[in-house]
Amino acid sequence: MELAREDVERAARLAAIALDEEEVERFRRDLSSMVTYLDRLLSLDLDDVPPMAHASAGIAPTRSDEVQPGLPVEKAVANAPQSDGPFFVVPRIIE
Amino acid sequence: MARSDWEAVIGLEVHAQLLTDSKIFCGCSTAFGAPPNSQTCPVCLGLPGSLPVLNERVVEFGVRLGLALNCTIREHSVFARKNYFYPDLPKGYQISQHELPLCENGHLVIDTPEGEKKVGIIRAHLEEDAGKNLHDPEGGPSRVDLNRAGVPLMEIVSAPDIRSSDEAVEYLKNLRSILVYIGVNDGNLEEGSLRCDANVSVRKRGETGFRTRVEIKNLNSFRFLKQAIDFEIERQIRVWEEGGQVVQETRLFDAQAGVTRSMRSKEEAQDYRYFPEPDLPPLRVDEALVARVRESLPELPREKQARFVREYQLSAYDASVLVADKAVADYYEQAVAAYGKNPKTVANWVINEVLRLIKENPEGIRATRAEPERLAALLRLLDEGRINAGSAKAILEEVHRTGEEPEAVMRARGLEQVSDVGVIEEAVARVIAANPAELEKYRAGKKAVFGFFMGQVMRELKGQGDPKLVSEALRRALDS
Amino acid sequence: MNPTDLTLRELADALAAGELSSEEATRACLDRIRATDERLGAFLHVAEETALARARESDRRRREGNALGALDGVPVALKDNISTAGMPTTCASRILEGYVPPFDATVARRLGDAGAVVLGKVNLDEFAMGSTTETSAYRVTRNPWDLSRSPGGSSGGSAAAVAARQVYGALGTDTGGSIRQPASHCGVVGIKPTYGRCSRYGVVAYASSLDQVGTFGRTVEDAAILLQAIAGHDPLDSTSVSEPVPDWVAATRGASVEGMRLGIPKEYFVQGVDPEVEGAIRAAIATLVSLGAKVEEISLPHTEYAIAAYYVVAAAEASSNLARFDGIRYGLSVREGGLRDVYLKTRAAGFGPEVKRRILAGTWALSSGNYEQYSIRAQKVRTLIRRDFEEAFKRVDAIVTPVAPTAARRLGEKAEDPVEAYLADVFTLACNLAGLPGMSVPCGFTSKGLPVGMQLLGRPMDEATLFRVGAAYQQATDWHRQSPPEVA
Repeated sequence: MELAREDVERAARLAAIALDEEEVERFRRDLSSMVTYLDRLLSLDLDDVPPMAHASAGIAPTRSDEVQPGLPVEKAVANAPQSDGPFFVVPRIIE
Repeated sequence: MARSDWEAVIGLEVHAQLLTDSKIFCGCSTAFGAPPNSQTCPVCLGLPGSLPVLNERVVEFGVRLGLALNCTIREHSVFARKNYFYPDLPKGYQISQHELPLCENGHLVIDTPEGEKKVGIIRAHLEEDAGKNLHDPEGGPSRVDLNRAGVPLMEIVSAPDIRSSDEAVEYLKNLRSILVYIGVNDGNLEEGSLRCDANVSVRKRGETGFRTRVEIKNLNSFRFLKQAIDFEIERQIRVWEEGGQVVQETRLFDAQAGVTRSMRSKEEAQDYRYFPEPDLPPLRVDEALVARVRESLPELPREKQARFVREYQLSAYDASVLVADKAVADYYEQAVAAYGKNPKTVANWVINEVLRLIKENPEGIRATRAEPERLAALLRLLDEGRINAGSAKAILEEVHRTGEEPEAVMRARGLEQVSDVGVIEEAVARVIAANPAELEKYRAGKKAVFGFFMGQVMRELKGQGDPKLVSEALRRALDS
Repeated sequence: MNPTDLTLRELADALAAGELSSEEATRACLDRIRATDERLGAFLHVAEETALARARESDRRRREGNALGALDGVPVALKDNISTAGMPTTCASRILEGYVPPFDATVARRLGDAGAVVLGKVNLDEFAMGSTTETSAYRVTRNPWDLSRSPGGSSGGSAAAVAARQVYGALGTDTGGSIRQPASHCGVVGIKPTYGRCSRYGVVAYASSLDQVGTFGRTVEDAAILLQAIAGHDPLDSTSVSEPVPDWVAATRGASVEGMRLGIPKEYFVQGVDPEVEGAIRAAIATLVSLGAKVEEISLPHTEYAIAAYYVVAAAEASSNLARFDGIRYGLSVREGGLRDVYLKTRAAGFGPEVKRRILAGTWALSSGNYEQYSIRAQKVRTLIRRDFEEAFKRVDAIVTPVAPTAARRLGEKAEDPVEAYLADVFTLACNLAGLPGMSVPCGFTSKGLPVGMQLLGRPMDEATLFRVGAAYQQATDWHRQSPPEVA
């Protein structure tokens, strides 16, 4: 199945990755090839098959509601590309 | 323009922070007001490789909330990722619940001028809160504090059963009251531990389908909720009547201007690409847990109010004032039990006096030292005629501050009511003797002068005369 | 004899007997790395000072009579998608250049608690997405048996480092074959345990429902010693299993396959498998039969759908897992323009083309309109694949297959069509989709002297059977004793 440029561009917008013209076309070809392959899945009768969304059969374990020590603030922001004291800094957010 | 041929269709989405000590998926504290980024760890910071582990108390609170709203609790519910980019969302997705939420198909009853109305609750599900973006009023860079990221939330979605801004306010008030009653949320709209968005659309009366709806955010008070909805209803009606189309969008309420504004619109509707959270197996809530939580639910506000009306013969209004705060309701009942006599009397004193004394105090009824037993003792003194109403108020104010026994205060301040008829008659005689002109006026038919004499006699008795006895003695003396 | 010629077990024995110190072994490894890694390219970060300090601590413990166990003082390496506190963790991506985690992955911590000496972090395909280690943004890793060829991937650095005797063992991760395939291409043992056996806490996620940490060793016993130390329930990982960890090392001693039933799936012996590879596998099977095993042909009918299902599931989960790389809290950040530009440009600059391709594919597969068609269907196919194995394991105890259709490919030799490249994963994917344990054991060489591994697949939680089969095979063969001549 052939994907359109728009399909790739929309995916790129949702995934927040800037693509140049050449990349859009390259990925369009790649994804089209992949989707053609994926369409083999469409030939199967899967109506009565339950989806396996989780890899193990278990149920969510829980922990008790106790405060545990976390990271000191210096460590929390240590890897930040831009910080202002204890804060992460980002360009102005326009609501 | 006829508004009556239009009908508003409103649904409310409320996000309630759950009052657990630690976050939903990690052990960081949820305490409000900590220094920025001081309550974080690899999990809530979204560091690579971090994984969520569910807080058991969050589950319990979720079940509690669902039961209090008459929902069915799903035995198996599934966490899902809601994917989007925003600086306060460290993982680039929020862990929420999508297709299989914890609670469904509940309702909440509100009072409307037409009587009781059931507002449906479609679902209530668990999710994590995002951090906080702090904007620079001068337009510089924004700063991000992730202390709030991972605080547990319950999202409560009502059915579009609400038909007016007043109903919306009633719904939110009732919901808030229930949440506070069951101890899962602190009800604080202003600080944002309880948040409300409204979905508003309009349609012609009689229309069965729904027209385009608009989401309004940033409604952090009952007043703004009402204003925003009223404005939006008007705006939408105007759009339709002018032949336009209401655009599906999210709008913010501008409290200064009293209007809703379009948010800087994104080119397209967000596609959140929900899918089951692979790092969390499905949540199982067994019958035993549900039963245990159900047992532990307190009597809810509506039930309590109805019972107060029944058991204590209170008016619906008085009952509603007393049940608005569970601690006040408990206080009232303890006072009634200690007093053992007319509950309406107790109600009057709690509503008019005790609540007045604690008004504005953030601690509420916990701030008073006038324990229920003390109030009961005070009322008994009043019944015995040992004090009058004026003195009782004064004594109560002191008991409220010091916690002392009313009788002790009465003695210490010499407020014991004078009920000795002899003493009263002597005072009456003195006053009459001292005011011959007024006596003449009274005898001449000016019955209003009686009030003057009452005031004078009470002054003689330093305000402690039993008003009934004084009045009788005065009448006897004047009419003889 | 160079200490690096020893197996992990031999080193542990030598340390225990006082014949060698950890510091000596560590220095020998560091020397070897210095001598070979410029050509081999396995390491992204060598932590010489810390390693020597830990080695000395180990020696001191041993002198005081407090040795911790088989791994105490043993030099190992960790794939660079496993978080190590204070040590860079890049996932071989530019987007994590300079990122130093403030915490250890649980598996790293457990190795540390066992006294192992972490020599450094080894190379991988970027974010573990690939099967040749060529998509690493930092360097090329070469196959120690033929430096013009790839070591396989994505755990190519781990496999190469062990094969080249730079370390005694290594941790890797396996999402679709990323331990087993490089193990096969490098002539070492690699095991991916049952899903949930090893904690994923601190392991940078690629596909959460498929990823597992596993181990590399020169011998089956070495791999068992390492796995034993890191496996087991972790309260920090909600997908980790509670089943107690059996004594796998014991399972490798005096192992026997007498009476064991081995399944040979017909769908895995098809056109397109290199005849020399198939020949080596069949010879290995014959060896196992001669040791007392019984073989029978089985069928795993949904094998052909595994790639499609894997691709959708892995890409979808990856697209979401990699959303956190946004230039705000760590890693690369391109600060030109407004907020949206930070995301768009950081991710454009920080991710390589393979990673971008998978993110886009996953985003597409999760989009409204495609989710039902593809993502849900892929999850259903996963159920069918797991059922295929459940059926098979009613009749056999372990399944034997090739690991890859060919031996190691030349570097730079890439199929133009990405789907062709993915066909190289066909034998290993189903195991991850079903959550089963899988092991690669060296079982021969091609005429060009390139290693070939055979894959053993087992029931959930039954790593012990794989260790038993592998160990029995290694008692009867000596492929694993050979050393790569190129990095002698």
